[in-house]
Amino acid sequence: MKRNDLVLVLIILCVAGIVYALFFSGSSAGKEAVVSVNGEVVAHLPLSEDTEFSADGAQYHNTVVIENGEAYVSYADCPDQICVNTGHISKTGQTITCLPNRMVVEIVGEEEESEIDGVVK
Amino acid sequence: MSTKQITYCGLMTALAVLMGYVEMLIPMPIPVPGVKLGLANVVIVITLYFMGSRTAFTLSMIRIVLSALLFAGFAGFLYSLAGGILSFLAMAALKKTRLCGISGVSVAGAVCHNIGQLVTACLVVENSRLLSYLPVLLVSGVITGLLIGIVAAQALPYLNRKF
Repeated sequence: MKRNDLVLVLIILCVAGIVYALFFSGSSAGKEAVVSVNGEVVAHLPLSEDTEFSADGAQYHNTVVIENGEAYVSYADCPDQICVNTGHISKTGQTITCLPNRMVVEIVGEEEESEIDGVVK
Repeated sequence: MSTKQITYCGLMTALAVLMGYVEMLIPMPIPVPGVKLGLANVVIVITLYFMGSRTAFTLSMIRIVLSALLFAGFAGFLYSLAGGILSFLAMAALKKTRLCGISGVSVAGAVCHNIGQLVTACLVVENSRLLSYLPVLLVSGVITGLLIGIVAAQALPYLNRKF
């Protein structure tokens, strides 16, 4: 292995560290789980109440469960099962992804909940 | 192209497709979409050094089309194609500069493969939030890239002697 190979590896690891910090440094306990299928938001599930939601795509289905302030995918009929194996998430910025079903569960905090503060008539 | 080279290409294409299949049988302990060993890249890296970039590119593309037809389907084809092209460009460019050895080239290939797949995944689910998987994919790319580089570096002297 040449010296430059090592330099390349170190640069990539530094970039990985920086990107990680950008995404997760301000991470805190989330308020709700946003479920989207095919790029469209299909559900806002508050983490405070236990629920079960079925995210149905064109071909596959995922069951998203909210329990004890955490979100996880309890069941999926997709081939890779990555979403089920991801486990429980509860912090802002964390995601569960099911690529075959094009489904993303994303934890957001309070500030992202609504774009409109209020409506005056 | 000599008969020897044609034989080599056929053999290596078969090996690359087989590597992709073997890889699907190995479960990955990390639940992040796109983390994988990249075994097929052993063949591409070896071919890049042994036969040059044009043959390596052709081999890579044939492998992707064959794998898609045999196992992965159209969605898998998109991810492999994006990863494969980006990975090949990075490896061929880095090899040409002669800055890095075979390990560096292999690492660049693995990392760029992961980047290409991740960007495709973002486009498919229309959610840029997936980019938060990038750090894991970069680190896994470095590790698998180094391993693949070691294997390729070990195999090349034998090929040069026997072929």
